[in-house]
Amino acid sequence: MFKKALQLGVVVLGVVALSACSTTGTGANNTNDKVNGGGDVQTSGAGSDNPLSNPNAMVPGANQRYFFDFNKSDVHDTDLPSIKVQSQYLVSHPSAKISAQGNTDIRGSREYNMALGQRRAEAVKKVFLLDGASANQIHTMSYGAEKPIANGNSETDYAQNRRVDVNYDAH
Amino acid sequence: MKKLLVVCSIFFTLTCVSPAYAALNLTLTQGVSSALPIAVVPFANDNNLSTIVSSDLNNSGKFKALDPSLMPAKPTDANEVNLDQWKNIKQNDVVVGTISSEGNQYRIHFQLLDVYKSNTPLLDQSMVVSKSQLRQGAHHVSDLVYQMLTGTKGIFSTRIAYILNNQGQYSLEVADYDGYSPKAILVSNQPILSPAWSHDGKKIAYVSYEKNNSHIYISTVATGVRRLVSNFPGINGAPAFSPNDNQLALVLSKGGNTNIFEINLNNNAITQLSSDSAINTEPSFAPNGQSLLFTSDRGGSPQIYRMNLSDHQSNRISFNGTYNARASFSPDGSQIVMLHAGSDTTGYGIGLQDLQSSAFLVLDNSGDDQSPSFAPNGQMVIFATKTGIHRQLALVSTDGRIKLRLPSDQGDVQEPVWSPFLN
Repeated sequence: MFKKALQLGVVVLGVVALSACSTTGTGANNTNDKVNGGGDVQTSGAGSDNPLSNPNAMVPGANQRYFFDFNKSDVHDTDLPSIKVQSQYLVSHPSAKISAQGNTDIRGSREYNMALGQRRAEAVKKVFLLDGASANQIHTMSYGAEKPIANGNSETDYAQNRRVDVNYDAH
Repeated sequence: MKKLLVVCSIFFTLTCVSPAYAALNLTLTQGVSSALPIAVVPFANDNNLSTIVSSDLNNSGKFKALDPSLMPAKPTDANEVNLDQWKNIKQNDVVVGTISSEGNQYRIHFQLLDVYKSNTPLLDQSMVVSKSQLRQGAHHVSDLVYQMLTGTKGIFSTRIAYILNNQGQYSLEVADYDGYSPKAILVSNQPILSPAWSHDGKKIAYVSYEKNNSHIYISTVATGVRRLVSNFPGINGAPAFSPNDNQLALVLSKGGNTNIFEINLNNNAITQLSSDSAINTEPSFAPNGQSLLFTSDRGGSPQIYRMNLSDHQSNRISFNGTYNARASFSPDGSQIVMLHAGSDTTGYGIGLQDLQSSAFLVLDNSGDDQSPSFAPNGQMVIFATKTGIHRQLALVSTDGRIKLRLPSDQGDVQEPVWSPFLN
């Protein structure tokens, strides 16, 4: 583990050294580019028309919200790039910690939903670990159906509650 | 293993003995045309007692209590009752009585007559109650009348526990079966879940998030004193007392998936009962203590399984519909009630399954029902439903014909559990 961190640290240092020689780019985005090994960072608009959007999906170190299908705990393929970004942030910030909090639809059994929320949080954690983050940086818990963000009875309301909130702990 | 702590948490418990008002307002919404007409005549020095008895009998759905304004006379003793007067207005039975004040107590005397028999009462009893216990006295009269006329024990002296969620302010409340005199056992700004009565009616186990993770506590209802029972990492959930109250079944994830465990409340020994990678939750003991029901999605979606406690072997017992959970036995062990979805599109309702015949009856299907709980006489089920924005409590008889609502104006009311018989 230490050896791997050391190797990564060397890579980061090398990249930073290179960037110091470059002409100034467009500020924050430029720095992010370097940390991500040159990949494009795209910040999207708030997308306020879509309640299932995750506008800061690709912003490293930003809190995240991942959504799930009814009674399922499979992480959507479309969320994998975002998790990769966050995992890499955790790897490069070893003192950073996240709490993955699982939630469900308000319908059905509350205790089953508590366990389903936990299963969703664990599924997100598993992807983080596969992407190289450390288990000791990731805390999982479930609120089941107890902390809905939408209280109505429409399918859209139900869908908004089927989520894992990934929150970075304040230092 | 965490130590069990006896905690007297005055900070978190609030035992407010409220004046007798109803935060929940029990209303009959569907009765049966064969309800038995009965006249509960206002007692001498009545003070509301006959009104309470009439409401109780109406709430059962099996009686139709006569409005006092339609009564041809107001006798207070069996000898004063003119049977023909009551036959003429098609009443089957008459209750008469007196209340007298004796210091800080009431003496209640009542008689029940069958108008088609004679002036000799079927019941003739007296009782003394303290002045603050008049409602309880009335409920006791109702219980005696109900049992005499139906052959079944009445539930009018029982209580319900439920969770009130008023915009994120949670409380675990205990009230009379009709919603009167609610008392908060715990107040918290974090979720409270899964209340469960002990079989002696003295304690309630529940899950509280006040420490930012689920912990299981047992509170003594009368005093609010409580004990921390389980605070393992991960989920601590779904507590259920064994029939002799010595064991508490519960669910632990310890960071992984949830399995059923059992804690001996006398010596804290923990036994693991299920051990697979599915979600296993909501244990509920059979009345004879030899098996328990639980919810498992080991077959793909939540269904009800029954575990034999002698060898921990389980089989699936629910085969109707796509989702069954939160099952519990009727007091005689012959039926189970559960949260039930017939298909992925019908939404969630309440189902009743006869264990011998496998007959299945849908008792209610609002689309978003949950948490059914049997009355201790096996005749009614209380559950939570959702009409509009808020969760409300509702009751249904086990033949599906009698329905009541318990609306509240205080936010969401959820997870009702009916007490055992308390007297």
